[in-house]
Amino acid sequence: MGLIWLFLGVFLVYPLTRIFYDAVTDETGRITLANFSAFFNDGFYLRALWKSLVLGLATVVASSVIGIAVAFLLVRYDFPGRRLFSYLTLIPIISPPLVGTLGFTFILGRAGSINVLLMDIFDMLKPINFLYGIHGVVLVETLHLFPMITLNVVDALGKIDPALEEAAESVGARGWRKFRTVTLPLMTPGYVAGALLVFIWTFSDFATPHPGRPGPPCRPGLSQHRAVRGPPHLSHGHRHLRAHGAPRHRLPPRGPPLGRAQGLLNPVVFA
Amino acid sequence: MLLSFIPYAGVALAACSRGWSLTPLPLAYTLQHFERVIVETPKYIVNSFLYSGLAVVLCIAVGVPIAWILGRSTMRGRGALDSINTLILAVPGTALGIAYIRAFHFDLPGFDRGLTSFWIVMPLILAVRRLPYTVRGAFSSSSSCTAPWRRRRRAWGLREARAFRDVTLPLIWKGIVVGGLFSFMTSLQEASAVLFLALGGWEMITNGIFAFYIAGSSSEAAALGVILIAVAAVERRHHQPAGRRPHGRVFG
Repeated sequence: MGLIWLFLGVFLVYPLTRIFYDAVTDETGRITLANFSAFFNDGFYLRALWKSLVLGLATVVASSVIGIAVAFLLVRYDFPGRRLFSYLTLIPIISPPLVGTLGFTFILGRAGSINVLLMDIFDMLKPINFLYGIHGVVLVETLHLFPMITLNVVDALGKIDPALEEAAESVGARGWRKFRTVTLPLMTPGYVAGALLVFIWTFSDFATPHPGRPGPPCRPGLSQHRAVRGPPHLSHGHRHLRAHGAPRHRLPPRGPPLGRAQGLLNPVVFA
Repeated sequence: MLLSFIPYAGVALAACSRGWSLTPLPLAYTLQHFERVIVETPKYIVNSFLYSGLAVVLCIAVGVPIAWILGRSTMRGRGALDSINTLILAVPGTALGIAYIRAFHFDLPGFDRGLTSFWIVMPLILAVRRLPYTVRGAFSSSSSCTAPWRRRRRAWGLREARAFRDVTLPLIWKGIVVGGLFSFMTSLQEASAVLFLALGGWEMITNGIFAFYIAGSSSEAAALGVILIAVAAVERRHHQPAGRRPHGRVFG
């Protein structure tokens, strides 16, 4: 028991306590809220926070529509291939999110297959922007995370006593009314658990917004990215923090970061 | 549903394409991108498997006793242990990565470097991130070791250690393996926590995907992506048969 607490204390509780301590103290170790004040008085960070909140909420709404519909299909309807359908529903969530994002850029990116086809067929001069912007991140996050809602709603629907819905039908409540007044309240706890997971995941996700910018790298967006962050290397953030050793240092450096230009900002990463 | 499979088709095509540009589908196919990431620059794959493997060992070493404490003991502090184990799920990887840099930048006694300068920090952070999955797997397995089994064990007069080896372990090992496999797969996919900690030479597959993509080698990035998907598929295949058994489910 002691060794377990030691492991958790050293490698989980201490780092989290330390980062909290850094957030509420200044360089001399005095307790202060100046860091939070600086955060909430900086337009850059506020925009990042606002966009992350919008992204999280939009993803919850979109995932809920798809996730609940799929859950109803799985629980309430019998159709050919239902078992395969239920298996495929889980695939997006066990697949690497970073790879999913990468794949979308190949198919739906500005030089992706769909845009090339559309430009060929309809003689379009400019590609359609399917991905680059908050709508693209919502699309990718939704298609990756809707199984979280589905799993929780399937579980909740399975626990609902069919007699309650039959009773509702016997007094004339059918379709949408039955769903709104009986089914929805009963499945709400399960749904809320799934929705919270989707929100937290989206709000703190790094992998999806990061590659969600115009590629390939010869394009201006990535040139700008490289100009700001230097040659590609992945220990940038680490070296940056270690070199300065200061908790209030920002990643990436201030200035005109790419995220600002793209409108894809994640406060956990960039603030 | 079909839309959610678009990315996997895209990654698979890009990984096998030769000079795919401005056409709906690649005009020529090759496996040289796989050769490059497996043979020429194997560090991403080797590091990923090494760190994730060590992380799973740590997860099992810490997670199984936690599951036993939560499910089978009346020790004080069980509630706190459960809360901390659940807390891990809510902590973003980026936050934990930055927390490690802040917390472990001081020189270790006997060394002139901090913990973040040693590669062991990578499996450590992966183990912490995946601990809840192993605990859940082991916990649900230990539930199958029900009261009649425990009574029988006492009736046979087996000592605690032998009873664990002869009775408990055969009942729970499948769940532990399933939890470990799931932890291994998700450790391979971890991007946010390790991004801040990886120094030159320590990079994992996800770091490699970023590096190749940013450097303009998107087909190599896709090849690494296909390898991640393949590992996930293999894990899923092993997960399914064990998961169907009552004591083998990851999520109870």
